[in-house]
Order: sequence, then structure tokens, then C-alpha cells
Amino acid sequence: MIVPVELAAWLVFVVPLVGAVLTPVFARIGGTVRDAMAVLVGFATAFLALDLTASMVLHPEAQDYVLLTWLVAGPYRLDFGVFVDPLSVLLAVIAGGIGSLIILFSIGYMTGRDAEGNLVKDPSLTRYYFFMQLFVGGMILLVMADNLLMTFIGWEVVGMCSYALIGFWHNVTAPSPVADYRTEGEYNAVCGMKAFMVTRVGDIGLLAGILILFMITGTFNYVELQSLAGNASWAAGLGVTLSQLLPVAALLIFAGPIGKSAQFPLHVWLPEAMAGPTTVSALIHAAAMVKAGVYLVARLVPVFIDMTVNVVGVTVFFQTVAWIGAFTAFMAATMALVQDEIKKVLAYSTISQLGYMFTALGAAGLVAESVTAYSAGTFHLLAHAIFKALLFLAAGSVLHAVESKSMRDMGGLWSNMKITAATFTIGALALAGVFPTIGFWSKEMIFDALLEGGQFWLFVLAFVTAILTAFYTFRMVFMTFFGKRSAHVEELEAHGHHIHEAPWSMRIPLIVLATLALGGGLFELVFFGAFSPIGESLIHPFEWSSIHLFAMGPLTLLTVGIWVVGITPAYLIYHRGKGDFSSLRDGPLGRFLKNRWYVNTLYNRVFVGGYLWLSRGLHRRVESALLAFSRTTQEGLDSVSRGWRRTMTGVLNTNVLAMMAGIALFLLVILFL
Amino acid sequence: MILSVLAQLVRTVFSPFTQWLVGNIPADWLGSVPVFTIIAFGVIALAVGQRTNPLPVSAIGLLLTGLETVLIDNDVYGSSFGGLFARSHFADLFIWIILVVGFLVLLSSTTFYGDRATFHSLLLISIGGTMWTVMATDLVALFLAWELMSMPTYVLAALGPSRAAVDGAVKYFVMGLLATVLMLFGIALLYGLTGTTDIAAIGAALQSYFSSPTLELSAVATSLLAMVLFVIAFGFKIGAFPGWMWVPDTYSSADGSLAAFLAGGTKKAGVGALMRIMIVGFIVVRLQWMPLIVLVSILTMLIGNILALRQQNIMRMLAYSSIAMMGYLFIGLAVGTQFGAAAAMFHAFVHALMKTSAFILVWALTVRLRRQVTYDELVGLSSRAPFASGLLAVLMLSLAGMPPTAGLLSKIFLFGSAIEVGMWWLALIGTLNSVLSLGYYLRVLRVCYMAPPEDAERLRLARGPLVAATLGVIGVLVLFINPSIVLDYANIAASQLFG
Repeated sequence: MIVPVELAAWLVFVVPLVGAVLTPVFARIGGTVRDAMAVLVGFATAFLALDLTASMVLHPEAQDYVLLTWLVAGPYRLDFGVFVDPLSVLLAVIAGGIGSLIILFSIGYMTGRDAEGNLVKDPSLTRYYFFMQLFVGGMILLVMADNLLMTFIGWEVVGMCSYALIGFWHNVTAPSPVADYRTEGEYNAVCGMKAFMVTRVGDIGLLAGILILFMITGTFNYVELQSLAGNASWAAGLGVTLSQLLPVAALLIFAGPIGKSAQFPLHVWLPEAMAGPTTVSALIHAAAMVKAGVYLVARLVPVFIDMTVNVVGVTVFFQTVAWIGAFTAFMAATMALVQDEIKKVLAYSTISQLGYMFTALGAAGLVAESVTAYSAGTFHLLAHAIFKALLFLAAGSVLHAVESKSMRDMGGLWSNMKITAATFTIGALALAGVFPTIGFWSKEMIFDALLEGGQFWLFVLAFVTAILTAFYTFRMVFMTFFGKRSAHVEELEAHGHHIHEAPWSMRIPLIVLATLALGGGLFELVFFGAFSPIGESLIHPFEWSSIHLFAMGPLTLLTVGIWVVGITPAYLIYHRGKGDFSSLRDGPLGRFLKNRWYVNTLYNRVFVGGYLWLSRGLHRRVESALLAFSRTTQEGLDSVSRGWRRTMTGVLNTNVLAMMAGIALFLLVILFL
Repeated sequence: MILSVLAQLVRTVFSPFTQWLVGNIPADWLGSVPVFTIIAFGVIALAVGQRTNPLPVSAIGLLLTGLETVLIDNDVYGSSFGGLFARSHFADLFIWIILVVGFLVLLSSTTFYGDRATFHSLLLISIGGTMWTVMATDLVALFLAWELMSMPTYVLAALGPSRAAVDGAVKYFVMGLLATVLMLFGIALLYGLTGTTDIAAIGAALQSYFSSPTLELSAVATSLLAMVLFVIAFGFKIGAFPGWMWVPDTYSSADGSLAAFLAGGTKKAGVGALMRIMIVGFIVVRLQWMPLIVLVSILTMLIGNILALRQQNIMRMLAYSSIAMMGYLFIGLAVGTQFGAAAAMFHAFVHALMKTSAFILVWALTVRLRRQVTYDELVGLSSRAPFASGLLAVLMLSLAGMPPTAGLLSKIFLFGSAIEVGMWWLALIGTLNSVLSLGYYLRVLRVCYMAPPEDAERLRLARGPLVAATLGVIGVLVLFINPSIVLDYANIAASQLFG
């Protein structure tokens, strides 16, 4: 609109990337300049992303802008291009907009008080802002890229930043929260590494999948993939092997999102990712990182939908996506029931909500009304981005005030921090899917899509999960803001440390996000009303006018039932304090949930333990032999070299003689060869 | 692509000068004008150098030569002296190698005992001779150019800082004479056989001999003997088996700048001349010379790498490594295909860049420390001279054939060309040799970066050598990112050669 689309589409990720690189330079000038520039870069990015959206609304069209050709090899070419369509713009707005609010929030959040009560900034803020901007830039690069390879580059940038940011406080000397490590810093570093390693498992699959897909189709470009997918003669000419490989490639590609978006069986890293600053958690959960996986699936679902027509077996991709999503949603929700740390609850809820998105996206390929399911998935992506950012930032505000992570150290904070509490509650309502928040609309759409499409069992799983979600969400609200004050809070007050509301730089993002979460239901109208013409210009020309908007019906009743069934017990138990569930908590079920279904333990046994066992065995049996071999080789060559060197007397006669002997040798060779 | 655009630009800007040259110089001489220029500047440098440092004169001369090489288009004014010397893409590739090496050597020239005038004058004349050597299409012209190239270097080698230099120079001289004699003998044999000294005509004559139904055994034997003599004579300058023994003695005792020139410049002239003779003249007996070149290649690689392992003196180590490098280069010649030849030329270019820079850098260190540089002198170099140490590290990586340097690509191309024609075993031997070579290249990196310095004092090296080495390192890195700058040119050159 203000900036030409083809320019804005590039700048929107170049600006934060350049901002990241310049951060150390600004840090030289001064800490304030650096912080201000980071915020400025964040808002410039957000502005560009919003501007792209505006252009998209005014002139709806999907356009591939190629900047330069990277390399040409025979029939293949690799371009550096950006793809502007509603999906990429939506993700860019989420990453840029929410990212900018998070960076603004960081100004206040990353300031602490030292022993004398003076305000001090974290000493490694340069690193922090560098990686935050790189994170946002990498995420936007990922979503704007017009080909899988560029997306993969952004994907890796995001992964690397998540590692650096989760382990950001790697030198904190406080005692570790987990017994296995000496200091909290060490624990944080290990958490960063865990996130990196686990997502990397998926990344390998993703890379392999991308390459196999390239082998089959000969292109990385989304537009070309889409046009090939609908091409029946192309599919017919594939041959048996390649068309059998196609579902394999699709599943391997899905391994990437499984890792990145923390789905079963690679969900184990996300709870540990809470070790980083809360702002980082907010960025990972709401704007970047985990959304990358959903984006990639959303980007490729239209391609694979078209392929199901021509290639046998691609449906297995959608079944996998939908069922992994639904199962993960349920599993994570059960784990969230027993968590005591506010951020852990939020982490499990993220896994669970991502599961919803995958359920919807997967269902898009299973049901006849694929448009509804697809749009439900993407809309839930937007909704989740808003309310999860809000919840995390509000939680950060609470943590900042209470200086503890555990909800048992909170309670009754409502009167001290009304804005935080109110905004947090709005976020919680959205998470629980209560009317009229944005979460209500998006969840209702997913249920609708599943039910209409005849995916009854997926629907049941999603529905049960929703009840659990409502319960644990309000358990968290009541434990944090209502009820009796905890001993920890009393002690803080006794030491003259008043629980205080967050500063304005932290309050503004909260209010903005709360407004969006509350009024976001209108988005459904905007999204599918005003946006419907551009919806048709999505990479896959869906007929968006056929979207089934919300209507009163039996489903509405069921949805209302979720709140009642979910929130009422939470109110009774955690606000009123009725009932004693300690026996249940400590019973086998409670332990099972607390230990996260023992998945983590199993991985630790099998992968870490097994690896160590293997490595010890190899060291003892194989490596020693190899070492001996290499030592012998080295010594042998050494003595050859030393012995030969003795003949190198440098005496001229020898040299001439050798040359003459060479002639003789050559003549012999010529004669006998 | 980039090169042709640049050349077009230069030609447009200097078109009046080109007009003047074309108008005032006989057309038959035009191809050799760059050579005249550099020899003339050699004489001027001798005169100027009596009073002052002639470096500006030499540098201007070299740049002017380069300019003329661009301006005088080799497609139009290639041939000179009735076709004795001809510039083609093939010759020009080697001319550029020589000019680049000459420029780097001049930038970093160090002289002893006030012999500046001699040094510059002889160096420039030798560069001129080298250019003629790769242009020569006639064996007699080749012989003359060869001597013009070699003679000054015999003297230059003796100009080194110590008595040992004279010793090294004498060895080089005697062996050089021997090689020259062998070459002359080969020329005489060929002339006797074919009645001509033109290389292409010899090729045609041999073709007719070998395709005639009455194959005369004596003709075959004579031509093969001549071929063996050529391989040995040029192999001497290249430092390949069996004439490699002078290399370490001379390189390590002579002035390091000269070692850089010998390793980067004259060695490549030998490569160019040998490639031309083998491919243009002896292509008929390809099946005979291929095993010979393969043998030379393998032996040269092994000699260089194994003997380099135990060297303490870095200059000697580099000398042996340059022997090994020529072994790799011979793979490209041995496969006898166009791609192989192009790969060999690319390798020649890359090797010229990295070996010249490495010699210059180590020599600068030697001059600064006033003693022979061994691994002990390099200990902790990274903290004593971080920049120089970084340059050395990149050069060592490149010599070892590791990313992100052009040394990796040149080896990949060479080994790839061998695999292409089914000589995978040769590629395998080359790869194993590369692995072996890590033993001494990485040792440099280890002492530079992992050993704590005994002497923490900062080392300030002379600026000239540092600039020269930096240019070489930039070249090595740029050619990794975009090898096609040189490789495309080498492909054209190879296709002309096989034309």
C-alpha cells in the first residue's frame, strides 16, 4: 500500500535480519540506543507486515517475486524469491506484529533489581536483542520464501536462535531446579540443547523429505509444486517407484513440523524451553518457531490435496497429520492438568493447541469440505498466536512481580495487579474457547469441520481435550489470581517487597493483545468475509465463499457445555478449595501424568542411555583397534619418510644420476606397457 | 563472464592506445608486444636501479604488460614472428598466471646486498621469457624462450641471503643444463624424423607415420624416445619425478620471493609447454604417454607428500608440497580429455595463487626473524601475528584441499576428470595422498593455533608481503565461491588445445 508489495515482501525480513547484525554496532554507541533500535526495528517489521496485509486486502492476488537466480544446473534452477499470498502474509503479521510487541515488552522485562533495589539491565542484552531480531527475521524469511529450500534456511535460523535464547541465562549461578545439574545456568543451557537436538531429529527428516520431493518433482518452488500436483499427466508419467516415494516424502517432510511444532513423539523439548526468559517463551510459542511447523504443513496441504487425486497413498499424510495432532492435543492436555509452574501449564497448552491446528489441517485432506477444515486450522493459528502471546506476557508480568515460577507461590494477586490479572483472564477465556473471545470462534470452526466432515473419532478426541483445556486453564487462573495468598507472597510483603503492577512498556502489549483476543471474533468476519476474495487467490484456489460460518445449532450447545463442565470444577476446587485430591495427585494416575506419560524417561533410557552404552562398547572394542591401526600407519609413514630423507643428500652427482635413471625407467615403461 | 565484461570495458577505455599500437607496430610483432614491453622495462629497471629502488618502474612495466595483454586481442593479433609465438586462450591463461605471480612477487620483493637493480631486471626478463615459453608453437622458439626464462633464474637463485644459496643455485644450474641438453636432444631427434620444428606440423607428421600401413619401428622408437626426453626435461622445471631433487635445495636456500616465482611462475611455464607438446604434438601416441604420465603423477605425489612429512623447515615443506601438487596436476594431463586439461589449468592457477602467497608469507617471517622458519618458529603465531596467521591458515587449508578454498575445487575437478574416464584408481591414489598431506598442513595450523607461544612478543611483518599474501588469499576464497571465473576460461583454452 504505502510500500510497494514487491519491496515490502523483501524488506519485511531483511529489516530484522539487518537489525540483528547491527545490534552490536548500536551497542557500542550505548545500551539505550541498542534497545531503542531493537524496538524500532520490531515496529518497522510490524509496519511492513501490516502494510503487506493492507495491500493484500486491496489487491488480493498471490504473487511470486523472484529477486535473483541462485544457481542453474541443467534443467533445474534455484531462485531466490518471495511468495506473497494470504497465508504468508498472515504468518508475517503474526511474527512481525507479535514479535514487535514482545520486543517492546522486553525493555521492561529484561530489567531487574540488584541487591540494593536499583534497576539494572541484564548484562548480555546485546546478545538477547541480536537473537530476538534474528529470530523474527528468520521466521519471516521462512514464511515469505517461495521455495522449500529458502524455507529450510529460515527454519534452521529459527532453530539456532531458539537454542541461543532458551539457554540465554546460561551463566546463572543459582541452584539448579533439577537435581542433575549444578547450577541453574547449566540447566538452562541443557534445556536449550535439548530443544535444538530434538527439533534437529525432525529437521533431518524434513531435509530428506525436501530432497526426495525435489527428486520426484524437480522443483523446490511452491507454485510449481502446486501446478505439478494438479497435473494428471505428470503424475501418470511418474512411474511406480517415484509415486510410491511421494507419500514417503510427504511423511518425512511432516517430521520437520513434528519437531518444530512439538508434536508427539517429538514434543518433549517444549516444556524445557521454558528455561529461557518468558519473552522468549512468548516468541517461541506465539509468533515464531512452533508456528513454523504449522505454516509448513498449511503451505503444503493444498499441494498434497491435489496430489491425492492423481497419486495413490498420499492420504496417509493427512491421516498421520490429523491423528498425531489429535493425539498430541489430548496427551498434552492431560499433562497440563498436574503442572504447578504457570509457564509449564502454558507450554503444555501450546502443544495441545498446536495439535488442534494439525488436526484441522490434516482433516482438510480427509473430508469433502476441505476448505472449512483448512481455514479453521489457519484461523486457529492466528487465534492461538494472539491469546498465547497475551498469556505468556501476562505470566511474565506475574513472574516478574512474584519472583517465583510456581503457582503455589502465588494466589490472590488480583487486587495488586488488576491489569495483568484482567488481561490474563481474557487470554484464559480465549484458550478455553469461551464466547466471545477469538478462541471460541476458531475452536467452534474446528469442531464444525470435523463433525461435518464425518471425522467422528477425531471430533470426540478434540472435544474431550477441549473440556480438559477449560479445566486446567481456569485451574491456573484461580490458583494465580484468586483464593488465598500463598506463604511466599506473604513473606515477600513482609520484607517490604510490594507486589506491583508491571511498568507501562509491559502493560501496553498486554492491553493491545487482550483487545485483540477479546474482539478477535470479528476476525472471523474479516478473515473470511472481507478476505474471501483473496482467499481464492491463495496458492490453491479454494472456493472460500463456500465457508460455513458460525451458526446456532446443537454444536453451540456442546461448546457451551465445555465451559460448564470444564470451568465449574476448577472453580470449586481451586477457588473454593473444596475436595481433597491429594490422594489422586499422588496416585498412579497423578504420577503417570506428572512424569509426562514416561515418554521423557523412555527417551532418556533408550536414546541417551543406549547411545552411551553403544559408545562405551565401540570405544572398548572398535576404537582401540582403529587407534592402533592409525598409530601404526603414522609410525610406518614416519619411518619411511625419515629413512628416505637420508638418501636426500643434496649431492649433485646423486641428483644427476637419479635423473638419468629416470630416463632408463621411462624407456622401460614405454617398452613394456 | 565477469572477465570478458571487464576486458571489454578496459578495451573500450583504452581504445586510442590500441589504435596507436596497431598503427605503429608491425602486425607480425603485435602478439609479442607485451613480452617486448616487460623486457624493455627490465632493462630500464637495471638502469634506474643503479641509484634508487626500481620497484615503481618494474610495477609500471608489469601493469603495462598486463594492460597490453588485454588490449591486444588474442583472437585478432595472436600470432607473431611468422607464427613462432602464438597467443591463444591457452597461452593467455598461463600468461595471466605468470603476470599475477610476478605482481605478487614484485610486491613482496626483498633483496640483499643492494642487488635491487639486478633482481628486478632479471625477474622482469625471466617473466618475459616465461610468457614466450607458453606462447611458443615451434620447438626452436620454445628452446630460446626456455633459456630466456631459465638463465635469469639461475642468477637470481644465487642472490639469496646465505652461502647456501650459491650451492642451491649451482645445483639448479647444472640440473637445468642437463634438462636443456635433453630437451635439445629431443628436438634434434624430432627434427631428424619429421623435418620440421613446428609442434602442430610434428603432430601431423607423426599422425601420418603412425597411420601408414608400413609402420617403421625406428620412427616409432625415435619419436617415443623424444617424448620421454621431453617429459623429463619439462618435468625438471615442473619439479616432477625424476628431476625433482633440486627443488627443495634451491627453494629453501634462495630468496623466498624467487622461490615464490619459481613455484608459481616458471613451474607453470613448464606445465604449459609440456601440455602443448603432449596434446598438440604427441596426441597420436596418447596410449603410450598416458601410462608414463600416470607413473610420473603417482611417483611425484608420493615423493612430495612422504618427504614433506618429516620436514622441519617450512620452506622445504612447501617445496615438497609443491612437488606433490604437480603430481595432482599431472592427473589432469594423464586422463587426456578436455575436462582433464581444463582441470589441470585451473589447478595450475589456484596452485600459483596459494603457493606463491605461502612462500611470500613464510619468507616474510624468515626475514623478520632472521632465521630459517621451522615449526618451532610458528608456535603461537596466532597470538603473535594474528593476521598473518589467519592468512597462513587459509593457505594451508587450500593446499590441503579443504573448504572454503579453491584448493578443494581444483582437486575435485582433477579427481573428477580421472573418474570420468574410468581411472577411479588414480583418483583414489590422489585422494589418499591428500589425506597424507594433511599430516603436515594441519601441523602448521596446530602449532599456530593450539600451542601457547613461548615468546609473547608481537611480530610485525613487512607490509608488502602481507598485502601480496592477502590478495592471494582473497583470490583463493573468491575462486571457491565462483570458480567459473577461471574454469570457463580454462575450458575454452582446453577446447582450443584439443581443437
